[in-house]
Amino acid sequence: MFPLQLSGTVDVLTTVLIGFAFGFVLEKAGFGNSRNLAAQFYLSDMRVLKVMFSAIVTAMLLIFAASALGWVDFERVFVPPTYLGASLAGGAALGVGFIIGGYCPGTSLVALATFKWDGLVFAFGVACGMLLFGLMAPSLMTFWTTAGALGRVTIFEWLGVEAGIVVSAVLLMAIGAFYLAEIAEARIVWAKPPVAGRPNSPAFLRAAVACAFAAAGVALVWGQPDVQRKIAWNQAALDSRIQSRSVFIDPAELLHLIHNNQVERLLLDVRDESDYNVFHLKDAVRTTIAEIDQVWVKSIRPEQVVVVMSNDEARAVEAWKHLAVHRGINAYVLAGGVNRWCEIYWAGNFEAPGPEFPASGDDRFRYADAFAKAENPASQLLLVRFSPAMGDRDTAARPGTEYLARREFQTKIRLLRAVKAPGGGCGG
Amino acid sequence: MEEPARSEKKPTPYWNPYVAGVALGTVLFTAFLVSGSGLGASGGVARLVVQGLKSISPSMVNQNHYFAGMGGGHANPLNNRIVWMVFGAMAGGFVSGMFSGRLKAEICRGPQTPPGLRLVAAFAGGCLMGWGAAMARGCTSGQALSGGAVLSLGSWVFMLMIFAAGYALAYPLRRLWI
Repeated sequence: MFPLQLSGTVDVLTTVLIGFAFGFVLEKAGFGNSRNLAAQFYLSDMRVLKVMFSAIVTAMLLIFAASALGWVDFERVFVPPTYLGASLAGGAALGVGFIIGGYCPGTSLVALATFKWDGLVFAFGVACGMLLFGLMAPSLMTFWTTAGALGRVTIFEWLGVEAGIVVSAVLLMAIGAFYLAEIAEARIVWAKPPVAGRPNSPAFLRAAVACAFAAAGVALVWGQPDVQRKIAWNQAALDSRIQSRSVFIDPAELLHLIHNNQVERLLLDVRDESDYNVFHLKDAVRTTIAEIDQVWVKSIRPEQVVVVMSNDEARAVEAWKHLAVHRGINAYVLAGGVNRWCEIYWAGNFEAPGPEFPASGDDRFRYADAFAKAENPASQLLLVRFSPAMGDRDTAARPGTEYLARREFQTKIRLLRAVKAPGGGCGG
Repeated sequence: MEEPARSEKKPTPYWNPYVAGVALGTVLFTAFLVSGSGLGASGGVARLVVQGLKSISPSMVNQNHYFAGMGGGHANPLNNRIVWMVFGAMAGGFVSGMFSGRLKAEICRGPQTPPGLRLVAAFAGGCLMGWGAAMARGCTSGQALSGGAVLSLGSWVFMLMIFAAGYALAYPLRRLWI
């Protein structure tokens, strides 16, 4: 399954080779010469548009067709996070820089590699511009990190449509743009660069378009994999994490997490509503696996530690899988579930088994009767309808800090992102 | 039979743009297959800047939010795939130039542009590009090409903005190129 997980020297070598191919093709396309690049903005030579869009569309079709067929795991493909404010500001600066300077950073490197003085000066300018940005960083930081910050989001996710639809639309748009580009080049004659490229080969174009439509068809028809397919592909990895119990955290570790004000946490309770209303942890949100797929996975951030719980473990493990197939989600299961939590913090058995011991029950809430009786021993009639707010009235819903030392545990939770200490730290 | 002198060799024609585009797209796809991320360039320049700063004043790097992210503390700014990629790209450009007869020390400029003006414009344009690439967290390679291929929303907004801004200023600045 692609992408691969290379490391070490192999990683360096392949990266250098890919970079080599990148620079080689750019030079072959004529992008090492600013006149060729600037001509794009005078419509007389449209090679920048043709090369860029052909490249984008080629890679896009290959990625999404491969993803639909199950050869590439799109979860592990890097999608640059969206910062709309920064994109608009940066794009404007780049556009102006392009028409004034005639290069972009990548092409300027190719130009300087082929001894173009203007490329060298441009690249030096790029370095200075970046330095300037760094010096301006303190006043730009809020804008840079928050303006229109939507996280990792693709166009099809933003529109709420199937990926294949956007892929096909982009392909059609590119073909339309190429058609207009050909007309422009034939009609507009100013700023033509001195050396032309090889002429179009109708056979090549026909073959390319045919393959393109085939790939778009695959992406449309097969569609991007759904959660069940993703779970199936990752079966072995998920099962090994479950078997090794590395994703199960001790109730005491959860209590520490609850009292830790520096880490963002999300407690998801996947039990039935009736159990939840009788007793639930104070900050635990009731949800279902379907809701996790449709709502939660889009909003959970890598900084959050997510803990899933059911009465024992069965349903929580299932829910955990639906979270764990997503790369930016840091999720764990409460070992022993709410049953073991109550055994420790309600019944007071601090020697209850640790997370290495799976829960042995049938995922029923064993303390339901105990809570019901404790709540109102006299009147059983009031037990008919419980509001969720009553479910966390018992002190066991949020044991105080005096309980922190009563039980030891081995830390399993690892943060995906480092926590910034409030006030202070590197550059505040 | 006399071999023409190197400087008189006619450069080979450029590839057809669609062919070059498909080739570039294939390289881009390969990059994704092999590493999960695409191509890039500005990040390499940024890290070289950070490395340079760090050798002069490490505290300046550590206290700056932008620089620290790339090379603060014990991190080596140059130990990153984007840096290796940039060196590979320069090598690839050089080799292609060599085999195509385009290794020529010159200043590429419009027919009416004096060389000095061209160099000043190149520096100014470069500064704007560098600032913009830092702001946008990438340039045409990293954001427009790679982010565009995976349909990142921000990348497409960025790419459309580049073209819009460039076209908007093309006519006023035509003396530089036409």
